Amino acid sequence: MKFTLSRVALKIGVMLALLFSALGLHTALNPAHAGDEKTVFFNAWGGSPVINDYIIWASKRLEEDHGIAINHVKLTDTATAVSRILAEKTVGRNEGGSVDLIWVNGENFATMKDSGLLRDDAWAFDLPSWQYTDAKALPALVTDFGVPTDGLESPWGRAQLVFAYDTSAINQPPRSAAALKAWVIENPGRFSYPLPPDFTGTSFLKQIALELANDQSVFAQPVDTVDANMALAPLWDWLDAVHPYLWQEGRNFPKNYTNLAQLLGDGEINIAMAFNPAKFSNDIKTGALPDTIRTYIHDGGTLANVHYLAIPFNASSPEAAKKVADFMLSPEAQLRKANSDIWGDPTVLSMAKLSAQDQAAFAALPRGIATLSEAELSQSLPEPHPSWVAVIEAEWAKRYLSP
Amino acid sequence: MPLARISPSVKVFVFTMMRFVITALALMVLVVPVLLGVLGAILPAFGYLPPLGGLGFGVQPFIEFFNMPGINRAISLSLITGILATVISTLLALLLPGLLYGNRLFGMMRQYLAPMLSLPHVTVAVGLLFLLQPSGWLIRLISPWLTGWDRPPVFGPMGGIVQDPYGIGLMIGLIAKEVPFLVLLVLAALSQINTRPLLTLGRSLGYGPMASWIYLIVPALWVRLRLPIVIVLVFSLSVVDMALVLTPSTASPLAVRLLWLYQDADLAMRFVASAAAVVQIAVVVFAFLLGWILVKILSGFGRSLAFTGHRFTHPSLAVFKPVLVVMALLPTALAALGLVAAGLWSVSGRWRFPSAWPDVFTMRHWAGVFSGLGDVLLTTLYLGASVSALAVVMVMLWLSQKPSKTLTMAENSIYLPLLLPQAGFLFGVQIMLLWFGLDGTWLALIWAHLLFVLPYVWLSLAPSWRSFNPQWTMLAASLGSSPFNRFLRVRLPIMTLPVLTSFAVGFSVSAALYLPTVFASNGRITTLTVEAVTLAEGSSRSPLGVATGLQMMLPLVIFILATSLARRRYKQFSYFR
Repeated sequence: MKFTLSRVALKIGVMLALLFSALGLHTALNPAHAGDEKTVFFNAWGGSPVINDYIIWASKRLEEDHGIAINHVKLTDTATAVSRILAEKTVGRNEGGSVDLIWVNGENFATMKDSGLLRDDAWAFDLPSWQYTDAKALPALVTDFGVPTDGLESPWGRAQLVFAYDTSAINQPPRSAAALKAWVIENPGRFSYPLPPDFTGTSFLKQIALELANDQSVFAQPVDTVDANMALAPLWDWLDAVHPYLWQEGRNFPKNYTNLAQLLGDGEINIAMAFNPAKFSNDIKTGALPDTIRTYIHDGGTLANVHYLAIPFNASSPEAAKKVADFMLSPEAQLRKANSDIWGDPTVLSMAKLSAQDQAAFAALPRGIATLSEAELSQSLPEPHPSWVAVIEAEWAKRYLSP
Repeated sequence: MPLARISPSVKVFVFTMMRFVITALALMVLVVPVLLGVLGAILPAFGYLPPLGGLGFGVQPFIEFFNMPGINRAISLSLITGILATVISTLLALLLPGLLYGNRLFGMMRQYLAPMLSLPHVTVAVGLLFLLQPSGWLIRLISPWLTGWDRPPVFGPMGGIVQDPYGIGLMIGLIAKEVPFLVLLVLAALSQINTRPLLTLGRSLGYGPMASWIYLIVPALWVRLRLPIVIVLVFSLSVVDMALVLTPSTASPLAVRLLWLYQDADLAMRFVASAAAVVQIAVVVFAFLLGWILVKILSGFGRSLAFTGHRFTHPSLAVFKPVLVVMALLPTALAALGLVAAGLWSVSGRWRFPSAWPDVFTMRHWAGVFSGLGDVLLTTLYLGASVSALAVVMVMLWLSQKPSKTLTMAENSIYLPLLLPQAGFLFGVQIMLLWFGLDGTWLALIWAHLLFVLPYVWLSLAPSWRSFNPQWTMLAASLGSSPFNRFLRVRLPIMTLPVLTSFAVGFSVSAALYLPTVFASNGRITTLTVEAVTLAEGSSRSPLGVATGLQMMLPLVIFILATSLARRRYKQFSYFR
């Protein structure tokens, strides 16, 4: 009896092994469901759990409505996906590309537009949800860091750089670059910023450069048409003075704003920043941050911009990608995104163009305990021309990344 | 047509053909592409890569590479951490079993180290991070009652205890993983040499236990451990995932800089990256030669000690014993403690500094697994199981051939992927995959995993397969059993334990692979390890805790399942071994 049982077990074992080998081979010969217009490979920065959860929700909703699933390829730096698409173009892969939809703005968009990496039929203006936007009232919907979008990308959300501080450690937060410098030197080890080329880190550098500039209009010009060294000299002086007093003496940097907020919550640092006005309210709500955290912006205003979704020229499932971009722009998706309990990313839709019901829903959204009001956020700085990013990042790396 | 009706000669023929095809295929699939991958790094390094417009030959990429800021530091950091971690791990692994031999701890060693072996490297790194950062669990446990700190301390140049600019955290991580690996191999080797009689011989000549161990056992172990030690050296010199977690942003080792270069948005940097890959290979060769010289010197020194009859009885050596035991077990213990911290974070709703325990517990993050990580978990499980099953079947078929000279050569060549730095050939491989349009497919991914899983399955299965007593199959043959039946009904049942164990080993290797997954999948297929590195690089602790918990459990569950299943069968067939 025992022997029979063991023979059965053996047979099952052998069959399982064969089955797994066969399954392995079978899958091996059938590439991941690419190009069937059912799965959209969405390449998006993946450093924030709330954003990742939001994308999961969107995938579920799209599955219900259109039978489309989002495969979120979590990036640590969007430039890696841009470089991958560029490599595909270079080896001549004009269809069946690895990216269907990509979350971009600023210099990555400018690079992709210049290199012809984007689907160029102005699809973004044809999306049904485009009717809810008002580009006249919000010109940033069609000009990305000063570069015309030409319908190559569809707006997804708005963002503004905000700072956060712990009220239990600081009475009056430093509300300018100069005041911040003095505060950091007085409180060694208690300030840091995300490691450039992380977008929040790079934005912080741009913020400081703009605040210290004698003439901010220089930054609106392409970098090679002006004296960049002179324009950036105050930034490097500021950083040279501040770096020895940074968290871990500037030898180590948090990788992004999520890491930075974690350090704030642990009390390793006392001032943090994010490119999302509701980020800190959200973290207080989930318990990741203590409720003594409040946000503020610098007196001269802070950087503000719009972020977008774009479709590469060689996307495998471009039609499905359009459906995803359209859904992301719909009142339903924008409402959920603007909810500070979910994500808190301000909407790009125009209230005047929405139904009364949707308007009421937006008006009823919780603002969050640490989120500034629209009035307090109204002081904003325009983004520099995208060409400045590469110059700032390269010079920063030369000076501070490899001392 | 039932199998029994096919004439025996046809079956033998089919079986032989199958083995031949498998061997040829294995070599074609495993060795040739790796060599092409190296070529794919060397050619662009000298400026030749037609798709990117590189048609000439020159050393410009190397010049650019060496002109990059901080590159010399990156190279020396790689060399120092890689060599030191290997030397320390090797010494500890060779001496620790000697210190504990005959002790109660000796028996426990295997039990406690085996699970450590199944953990992915990055899991261990994350554990150390959770434990040792300034706001980590260790400092929480002793604050504020002991330290007086009610907020995380500022440590100055050291940064934290991990993520330090000198690579100490990275070395602790490497040692925590490599000591268990090497010690388990030492234990296996000890059962193959006449340990007890040799030690008795040493004692009868008036040498102490440690002296006998060093003079009689260590040389015998060395011969059996050379290859794994070289594998450890190559791995330590080129590790990416652990280094991403355990080194600070401004002091990354060469392999990380190499990854950055390959991910640079400027495609022209691919040439420089290829130059970096060639330098990475050169660094490994240099370290290997250095290690070889070191071993020559040490063995010469040992021999001269032996000739003079040195007995290691100096009183100061007594201190040495506890120090060695602590050094060997501390990194592993720290990693284990760190994993407990990771587990705590995964269920914490709120955990303010300096609380020693989470202020609020929640299962929210684990509930998220089923929406977010479910696919990733399935992918990891599925990939690991199919790659590992393929590898086991291939190794079994391979091993059932009659040994020959060509075959031995072919066997040795399967270690190739472990003896080359991953970054050195994977980038070349990726360029090839891109060329053939295979990047991001399951085929590419399964193949890339097979490259690394096969050698480990081989390492784990081949010795016991070869120690099989052929009389049992001969007996079956004399009773008229066909070769196929002999394999299926006689050999396989007796070999269940080693076969299932090697399956589990293969699975844990596959589950741990980072760089091969990233490059073969081109970002389209995500496994737990890739997810964990992404989370470790920038996310809050709780999701990272969950990913780490899953990473810890998956290989362990497979390991326990495989071995317990096998043990039940082992009881029935143990007589035959």
